[in-house]
Amino acid sequence: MRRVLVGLGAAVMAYAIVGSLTDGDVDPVGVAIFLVAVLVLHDAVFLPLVLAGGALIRRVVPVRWRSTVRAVAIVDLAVVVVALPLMIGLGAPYGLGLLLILLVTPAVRKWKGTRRAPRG
Amino acid sequence: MVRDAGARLRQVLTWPSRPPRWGPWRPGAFGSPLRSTRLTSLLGVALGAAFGVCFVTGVLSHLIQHPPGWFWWPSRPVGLYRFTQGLHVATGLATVPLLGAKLWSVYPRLFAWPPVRGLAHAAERLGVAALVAAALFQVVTGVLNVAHWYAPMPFFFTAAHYWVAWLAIGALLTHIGVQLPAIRGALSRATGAAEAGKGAPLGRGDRGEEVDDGRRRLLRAVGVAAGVITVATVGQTVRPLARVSVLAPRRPGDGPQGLPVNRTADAAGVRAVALDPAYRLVVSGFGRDVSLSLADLGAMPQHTASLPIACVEGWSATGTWTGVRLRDLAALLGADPHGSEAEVESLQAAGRYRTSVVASPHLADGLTLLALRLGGEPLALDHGFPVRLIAPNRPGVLQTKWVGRITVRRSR
Repeated sequence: MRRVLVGLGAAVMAYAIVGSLTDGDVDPVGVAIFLVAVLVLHDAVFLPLVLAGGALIRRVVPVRWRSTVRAVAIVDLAVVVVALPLMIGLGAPYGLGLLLILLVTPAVRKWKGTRRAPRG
Repeated sequence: MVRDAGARLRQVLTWPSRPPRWGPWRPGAFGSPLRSTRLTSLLGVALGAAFGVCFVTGVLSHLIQHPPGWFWWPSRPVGLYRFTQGLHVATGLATVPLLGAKLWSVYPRLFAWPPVRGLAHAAERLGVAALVAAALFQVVTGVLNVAHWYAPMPFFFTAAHYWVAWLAIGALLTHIGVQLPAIRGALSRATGAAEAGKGAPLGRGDRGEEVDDGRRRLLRAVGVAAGVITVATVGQTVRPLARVSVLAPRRPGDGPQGLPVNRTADAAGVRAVALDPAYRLVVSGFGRDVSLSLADLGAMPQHTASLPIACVEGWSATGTWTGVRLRDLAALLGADPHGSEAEVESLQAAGRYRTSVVASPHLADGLTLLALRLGGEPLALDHGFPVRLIAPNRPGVLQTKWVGRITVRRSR
């Protein structure tokens, strides 16, 4: 089973590479650059910043609120990642929508947090 | 001095087996107790499912636009493509928090030491690099396309996104194959519990429950993030949700005549030609040629159909179109719609999408129209005045606007 998956996967990857090189519509250099760039930017810039953010939360936020703050941070980060390009590409009105979500999320979490029985 | 040099040399020769001790290689650098093979595997299953859905719906969209000889696509249900493409974009956007969490959970493995233990190990690491790069590529380019922000992409989005999809799926299959034992172990109940109770070898202690609980909260946060993104953007496809979807790139009611526009007449350079009173729709094929003015088209039997424009970016909106049936135009040439296809050309002089081919299921369908009116009013210039093609179950890019010429021929 393992060998089948690995072999099939390798064949499909080869198909992708050959196909993209023979398709006139594809700029292989541009695609290769983007692949490397997105990998490097994510692993060398984005994730370290996320980890730093997590360390900051551990340092600054009291234990009681830590999981709530983390949950809000996760949701807000994901929303920003999607909304920022939309704002840049399609215009400022999307910024208002984004702001709305960012403001509502902590409020909802706070409300849910106080309704649940307090955790140790 | 000589002794020092000897020691130095030994250091240099043995560096691959001794990890550095700074930065990410500092012991305890990645402190979160939430990382575990179980978390990674659970996220992996969700990601695998999401990528599977995106792959199938994406390849389908590609095949419809570039049909190989064996491919057949029906003209009904009217809203099928709208559904599959809406699903493609919604799933892709929801993948953002999933992929983010997964990469966070395996990040420490990037710094495994030594970096390369042998040829097989090197191949495995290369495969993982391909998977991560391809997955990020798909999600990032997908979001950029939905945002109509093409500047950061030094390539034609559609073709690149298609081929890297195959790369991602291939790398995913290989990855699952390599990791199968670890996945099976992590997802089975027994090992999962043992993992959680790291500090309690005989079963789950307090620490184990804490880790379980923390993992559940993390997964819940990731799920909520995916949900929020979906609700915030899906209103571009699902009309009743439009009001809640504050991030929806296209609201169904936007644009002239209540329908959004991707490419305006000015952007396509057709304003002068489209507004020319000497405009004629030329229908040719089977040895005959018919030239129809707008008045001629207006005099033919008119039909009205409620059909969606469903774009590859996932948005869709329905309009009420009135015009001449494509099969009636084919009948003017004496062609049998069931064995023929029509090449529809735009007044647009250049551009990838200036022509589209209408295969026989759509040609024969009575809902396929050359529309003259939208919502009861004459078609707006930006919507394709004087005439645009509108057919059921068809991507927006193939609903040719500013139609100038139709060539009917036997199906290939």
